[in-house]
Amino acid sequence: VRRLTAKLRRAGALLLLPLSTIPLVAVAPRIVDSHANYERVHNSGPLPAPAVALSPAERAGYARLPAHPDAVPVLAYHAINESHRYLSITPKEFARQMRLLRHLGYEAISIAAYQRFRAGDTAGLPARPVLITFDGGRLDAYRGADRILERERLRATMFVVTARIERKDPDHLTWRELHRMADSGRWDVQSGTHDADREVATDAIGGHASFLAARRYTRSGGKETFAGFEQRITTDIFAARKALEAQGFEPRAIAAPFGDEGRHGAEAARIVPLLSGLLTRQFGTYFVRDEANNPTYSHSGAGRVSRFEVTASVGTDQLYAWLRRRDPGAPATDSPRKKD
Amino acid sequence: VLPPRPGITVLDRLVRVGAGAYLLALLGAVIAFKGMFLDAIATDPLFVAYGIVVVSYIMSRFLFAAMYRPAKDAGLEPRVAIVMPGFNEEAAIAQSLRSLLVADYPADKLEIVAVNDGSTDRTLDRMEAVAAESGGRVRVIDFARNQGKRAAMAAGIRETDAEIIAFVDSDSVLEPEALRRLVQGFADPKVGAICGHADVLNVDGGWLAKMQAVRYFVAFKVVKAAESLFGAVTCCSGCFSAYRRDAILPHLDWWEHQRFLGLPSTFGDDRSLTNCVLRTWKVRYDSRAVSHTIVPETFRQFMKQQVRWKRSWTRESLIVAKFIWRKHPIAALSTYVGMLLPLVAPIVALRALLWLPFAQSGGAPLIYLAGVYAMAVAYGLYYVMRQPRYSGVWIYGIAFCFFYLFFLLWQTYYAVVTARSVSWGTRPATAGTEVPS
Repeated sequence: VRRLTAKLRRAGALLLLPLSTIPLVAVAPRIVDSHANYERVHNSGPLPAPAVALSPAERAGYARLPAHPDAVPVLAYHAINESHRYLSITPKEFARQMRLLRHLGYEAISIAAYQRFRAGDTAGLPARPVLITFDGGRLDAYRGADRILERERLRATMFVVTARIERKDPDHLTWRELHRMADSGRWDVQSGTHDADREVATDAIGGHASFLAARRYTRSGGKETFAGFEQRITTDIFAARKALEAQGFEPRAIAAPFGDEGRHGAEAARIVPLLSGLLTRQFGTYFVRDEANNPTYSHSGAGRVSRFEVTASVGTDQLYAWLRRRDPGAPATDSPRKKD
Repeated sequence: VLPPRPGITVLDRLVRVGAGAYLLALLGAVIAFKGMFLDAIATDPLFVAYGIVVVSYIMSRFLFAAMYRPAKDAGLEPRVAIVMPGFNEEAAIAQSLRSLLVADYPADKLEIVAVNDGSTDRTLDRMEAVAAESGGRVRVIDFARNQGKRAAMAAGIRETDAEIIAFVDSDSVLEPEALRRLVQGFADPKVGAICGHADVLNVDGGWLAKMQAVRYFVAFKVVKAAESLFGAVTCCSGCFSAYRRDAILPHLDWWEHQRFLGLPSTFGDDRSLTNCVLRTWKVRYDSRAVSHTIVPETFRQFMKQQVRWKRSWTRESLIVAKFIWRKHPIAALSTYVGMLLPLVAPIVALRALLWLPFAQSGGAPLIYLAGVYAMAVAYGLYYVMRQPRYSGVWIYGIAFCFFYLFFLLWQTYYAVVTARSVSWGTRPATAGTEVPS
């Protein structure tokens, strides 16, 4: 027995060696976390603009389009990174597209100028205006885009999801950074809702839809009433407006998450007017996504504007094709333009 | 008296190899971690620099320790006198003296000088008993009243004309071949003093003793070995050390009557004597000259001993700082860093454990503790790697690092402020204070 206990004690003592790794392994995720945090705080400035050039063939192919001071094409970007996801674009591709805009003689306008244009005041608009927008308030979009915009003498509008800023989500811009961006004169800050950049359940069997675009289902309360729906989205949009104002940014436009305004839901007939009215009243202009991603250039007028969403599969050719197709001076090549 | 030589199995060898691989991986991980946060030096220069200095210091200790080799056997057999002072040591003194008599060393070249420092117990009787049975190899010097350890040691030194003077604490026991091994380093004529290795004898004496076992091991096999590489060991432990007579004689009077801020220096005799020699000689460490020493087993005793050590560290650091720059540049740098770190460490610990949790979110305290833990595991693994037979004692090394963090780290400032104190804490406060100046 004594021998056995001695052996057991020795085995136990040997076990101490592997056991001693446990605290080290356990703390590893915290270290990785802390490093991410650290990088977020200290290594979040704009990235250098990648060198890009349009080839002579491209320059020849991308012929300048007629001036159209009465219409403003609006581009919607999301993330800039190398992930090649649907709503991401690489820094290089973004740089090429901005170079293309400059090559074609486009000048990016501010959200204030766009607001005036929507109000029918086209005085002071450049010959070829364009509005460049980013959804989501993502850090990588700012880091990737800023130096490129600076180089091409362009500017952009960032739509921020204010609840996410308050949550200090590391992948998203902070108020301090947004103020710095605005101070640079290259960026405008507008709303991407307060906390509606997510989906909610719409029934008990897994149906879901954009937060703003459908009545919500909860187990306790079942499907919310239209009054409840209106209250919910009103609360969010008011909060978004308030948060923006609290930071000293004048609310001029809002981008609906997922570009979804409920047009395709079963209750579109009641949802769309409710949402549309709310967004128009609170922000004047709201941006959505056109179903075929082939929106017309927006003309002046209140309310809804659809943007050309630049996804991972959009290159300079596709961008040029869209700009050309929707050019008011160019002959219509596809379905006739509908009035907004 | 000495612990039996353990039986070593294949498993023990495998464990040692495994611990070595683990240690390398751990050190690699620590370097990688430091690399991850290297940019932070721009935003937080002081504390990041501190972290880098600490890691470099520890890594360099391991590296130099790995490069260290004990002195080769040169066949040296110089005349040696072992001086053993004793004050109220009636329980252990006879055994300690007898362990010197059985040393594997020619009888005609080894003399032992026992100094009774005015003991009030039967220490003198015990000394004389051993002297009587030693055939004249043990001489006894008797102080009628207590004059302090330095006076006793100095009297012992003056009593002999041996070429090499060795000191063995009365609570230390030598391995039979320890003395022969220790003196081999004197083959280098520039070496003025050599520090032997000290293991903990009462390793079964509870958790505190086990902690100290790992600590002693690291302090000797890593820190002293690293210092020895450059001939600049800064403290020849009182447990077991040897000096060239020529190296200490010019300093003997000063050393015996050393004063600090107007009061006689009653402790830290070992570090002080080392400093005297280090100024002009090389000082080495020999890992194969092994003594076994009894360490405090109670918290109170241990804390008192540590304060005393830190006080003498303070006093002697002021001395060593004045001349170490003339030594090997790496030794000088290491010594200055070794002085600075204990002074800064409490601030860094306070900041990481108490301030940062409030000032910023994130895992500052946890990561700091993980750093302490990694250092502790590294020392523990080194202990495992270098022990012939595996035992779980190394885990107390981890406990010690946290014990150090929570109890000993804070002593430094107290010791610096009270460095002038003459109190031994464990001995009568009067011992040595009445030495005429």
